[in-house]
Amino acid sequence: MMPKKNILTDNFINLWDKTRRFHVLIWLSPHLLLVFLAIVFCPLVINTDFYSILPESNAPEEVRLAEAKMSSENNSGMFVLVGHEDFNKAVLIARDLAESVAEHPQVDSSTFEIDAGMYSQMQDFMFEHRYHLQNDSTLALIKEDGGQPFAENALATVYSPFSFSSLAHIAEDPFLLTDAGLRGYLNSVLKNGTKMTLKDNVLTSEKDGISYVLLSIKSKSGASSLSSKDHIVAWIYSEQKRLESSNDEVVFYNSGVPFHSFESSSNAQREITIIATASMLLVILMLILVFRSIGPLVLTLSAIILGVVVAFVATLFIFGEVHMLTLAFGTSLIGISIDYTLHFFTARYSRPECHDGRTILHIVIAGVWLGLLSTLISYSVLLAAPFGLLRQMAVFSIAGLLSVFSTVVFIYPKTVSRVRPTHSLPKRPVEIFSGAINSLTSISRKKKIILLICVTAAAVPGLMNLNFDNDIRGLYTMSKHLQDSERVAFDVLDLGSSGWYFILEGDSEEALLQKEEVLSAVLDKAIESGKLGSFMCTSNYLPSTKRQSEVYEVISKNLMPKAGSQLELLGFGPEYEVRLLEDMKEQKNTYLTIDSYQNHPIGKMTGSFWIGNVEDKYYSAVLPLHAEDSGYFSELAGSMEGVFFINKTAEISETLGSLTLSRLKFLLLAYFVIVFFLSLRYKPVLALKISRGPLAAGVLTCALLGYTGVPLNLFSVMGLVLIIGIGIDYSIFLTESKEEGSSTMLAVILSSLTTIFAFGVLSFSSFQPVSTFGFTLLFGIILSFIIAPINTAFIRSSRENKDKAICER
Amino acid sequence: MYGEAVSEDEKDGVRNVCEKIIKNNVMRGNFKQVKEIKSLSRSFTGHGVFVISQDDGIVWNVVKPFPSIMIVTDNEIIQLSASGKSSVIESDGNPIFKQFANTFRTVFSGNAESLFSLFEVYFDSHSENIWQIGLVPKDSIIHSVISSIELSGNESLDRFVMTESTGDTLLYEFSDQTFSMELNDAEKKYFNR
Repeated sequence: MMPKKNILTDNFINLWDKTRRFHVLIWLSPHLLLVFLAIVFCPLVINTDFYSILPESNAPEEVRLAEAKMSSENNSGMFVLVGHEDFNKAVLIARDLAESVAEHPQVDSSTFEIDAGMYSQMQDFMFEHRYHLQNDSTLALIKEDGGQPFAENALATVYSPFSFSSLAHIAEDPFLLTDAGLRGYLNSVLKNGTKMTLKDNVLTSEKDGISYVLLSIKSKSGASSLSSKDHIVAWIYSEQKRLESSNDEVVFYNSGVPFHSFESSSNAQREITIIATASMLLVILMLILVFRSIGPLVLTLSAIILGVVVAFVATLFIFGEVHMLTLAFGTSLIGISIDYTLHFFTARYSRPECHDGRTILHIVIAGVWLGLLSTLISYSVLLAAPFGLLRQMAVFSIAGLLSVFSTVVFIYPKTVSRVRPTHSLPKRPVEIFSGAINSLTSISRKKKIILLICVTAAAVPGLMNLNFDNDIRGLYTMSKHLQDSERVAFDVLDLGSSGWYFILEGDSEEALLQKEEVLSAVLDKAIESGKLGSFMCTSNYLPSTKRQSEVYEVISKNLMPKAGSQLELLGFGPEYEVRLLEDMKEQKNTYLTIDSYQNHPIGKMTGSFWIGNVEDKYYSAVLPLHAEDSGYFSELAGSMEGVFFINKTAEISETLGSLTLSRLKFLLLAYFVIVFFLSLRYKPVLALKISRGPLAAGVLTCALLGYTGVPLNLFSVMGLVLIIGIGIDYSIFLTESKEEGSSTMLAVILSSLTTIFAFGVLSFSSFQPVSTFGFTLLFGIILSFIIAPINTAFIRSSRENKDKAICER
Repeated sequence: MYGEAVSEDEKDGVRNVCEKIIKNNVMRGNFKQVKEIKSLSRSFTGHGVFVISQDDGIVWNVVKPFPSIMIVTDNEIIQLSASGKSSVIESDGNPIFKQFANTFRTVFSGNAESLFSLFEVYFDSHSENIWQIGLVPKDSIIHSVISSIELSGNESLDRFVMTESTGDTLLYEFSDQTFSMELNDAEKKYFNR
């Protein structure tokens, strides 16, 4: 099975020869340059926010930016419910926790009590804006019968036992507009669907005999999310532990993104340490057992450590950050990159008498070079994905592999004279494995066909059972204590949020508020028809200038002509009427603006629905509460210009789904590109025959996924991509092996074992994406490892039969 | 009277008074209401009839000078204007409002334990029959609006004075009180709306 003259490998060797004097420079300069650039230009940023890595939705760019701005605001928020049978004790403990949390440097605010002066602030605010802030029902009452019933109602309220506002301003507000405004405001701002009530200045709720007190914490933006003892969440947990030890019956329930990020980050850090340590230990053990010499051990470890550093630095340089999941996936680099060093040293050990690095390199270069190419082609499928995590992983692995490859190619040959084999390579593993393969390939043709049919028949039900599922909710499994915490928090808070909302876009703040009002009118109808419980939006509290002016006009037209008589009935003389009319006139254009509203304590209470300016446009969110039929609201948004329906869970799942499909197409493309490159070295038919091994491994892996119920999602497809790229290496190495057959086989066995171990460990990860990826590759590499020598043996035997037939003729 | 809040022993005096108030389930009668606005040096005086039912709630039927009816129950406050128009404020889901409605109900319910839990209670008993109870809201939000409430009476609740934090006062004088165990049919209609 002689390969044809190869433009890829032969040119590579020629180039290698010509540049021999500069090898160290060629190897060193990119490494140094990269490290230098990263040190100078890139601060070390490890992103542990597991929400930030999700693929982007299909919404327009500006809307996505607006949405991201809002998410980053909301994602820094945390809720802690302090529960105790005794409400007063719950309050005391909550106060203690709030005070100690507030001292943490990462905390922006820790709110537990509501300002006692809030009600009088609301009264003053409403008095100040009484001519402009009135809701629809008040406006309708003012319009009714020229405002007469409204005026009478105000008189009745003055003499009724209860009014919302103080009567201190009755001469300036004889129609009790402040009272009406306050009533409407209280209805919308405080009737927000939550089960929490206000008691002794704190928001509280009772469930199953336990009183819960709410503590809201906001962390500072830019605070490190890397899990450590100083982390805000670690601090909250330790404070809760302290309070639990001195108060037997207290319970804490935590909710909010930072708790999840902290836990994921702690898990990831632990897992990465375990996986990397275990992989390295296996590598060390294997190198000692096989080569029984310090040389290959030191050189291999140096190459891998350098490769990991380069991978990290390159990712940091290109993306400005390295995501924790990239590191988790990236631990597999150890198992993959070691293949090149293993091939080099087994070749070196199979030629103990040789002291020329070029000769050793010549033995392995075709296999290693083609192996690298096929693996790089596979990673480029991930690199081309519009998904940050995949791109980071691809850059991480490509940079790491190139570094190890360059070390093997440019540095290792120089060590050949120093690394002298003291022992021969162990033969037993090769004998056992080759024996098993030989007995399998030497069976009769009939038996081979029966075996093939059996394997195919066994695979079919698994393939039929394969489940295409990209639901993002299946990708994150929270720990039991966080799950319990979130469940209780959901029950107690009962915010009614459905996980989807509207984002509105306007050319100006005024246009945006007007758009909100149009949508609000439609949503009010949805409330009437029972499709919606309520909704929250900025214009509920801050109407557009157009609307404020409308309110002013209605009051001016309907009520002011009655001002004199109204004041008289209340016992005030004509001078009060003059003053009132002047005041009304003065206030005509004193509209409430977004700035003055947001800076007012009342504005701060209404939450962050106003996103503001993004790329020359203005955005805000409208949050439907207690609504189920997302389809209705999605259609509604579709029918209104500048209104976007955001259902992140569904959209991300959909994006993951389409990404998966596109990666499958790219996988096919990559496969043919690999076949093309192989056909530059071998004849096309042989190239196809070599590459059918990993293809079969990929199909059988899919069948196994079907049997084990692991869904075919983006991460299993990523695994399939790498099965083709890495699995084909074994076939290439074996095909390339000539007289070094047994040492190549040993290298294939060793490199398969390290790769299998690397992905085997990943499959135990607590992160669903990582474990799915590891699980898929674990099966795929085992199958590739078994199929590659069988396939090579079949190719060889059919070749020999063919040669024999030619000779006999 | 706002020297020291009632001690555990003195609480019994308050409990005895409350028992007097609620010895019958329903109290009804006439009231005179005076709202004094300190900053304007003015007062607004009205008259009407009231019904307080331990189980159902309170009805204030203002007859003069401008008729209106206010019904306070556990869950809502309903205001009826002379023209028959009603406006309903649900206290459910509206924390501040619920607090005010609850405070209002507690004061007139005669439930001593609720009074102790919501207010600092002060008690003064001049003689065997005349008593005076001072209430200062414990909740700081309520306290930011209502400074104190004074209840006084003899065999029943005769006088109510609420002082707001602004210094304004709301005075009720009750007269011609009658008692029964149940609401009459006309009264029931207020609550079965």
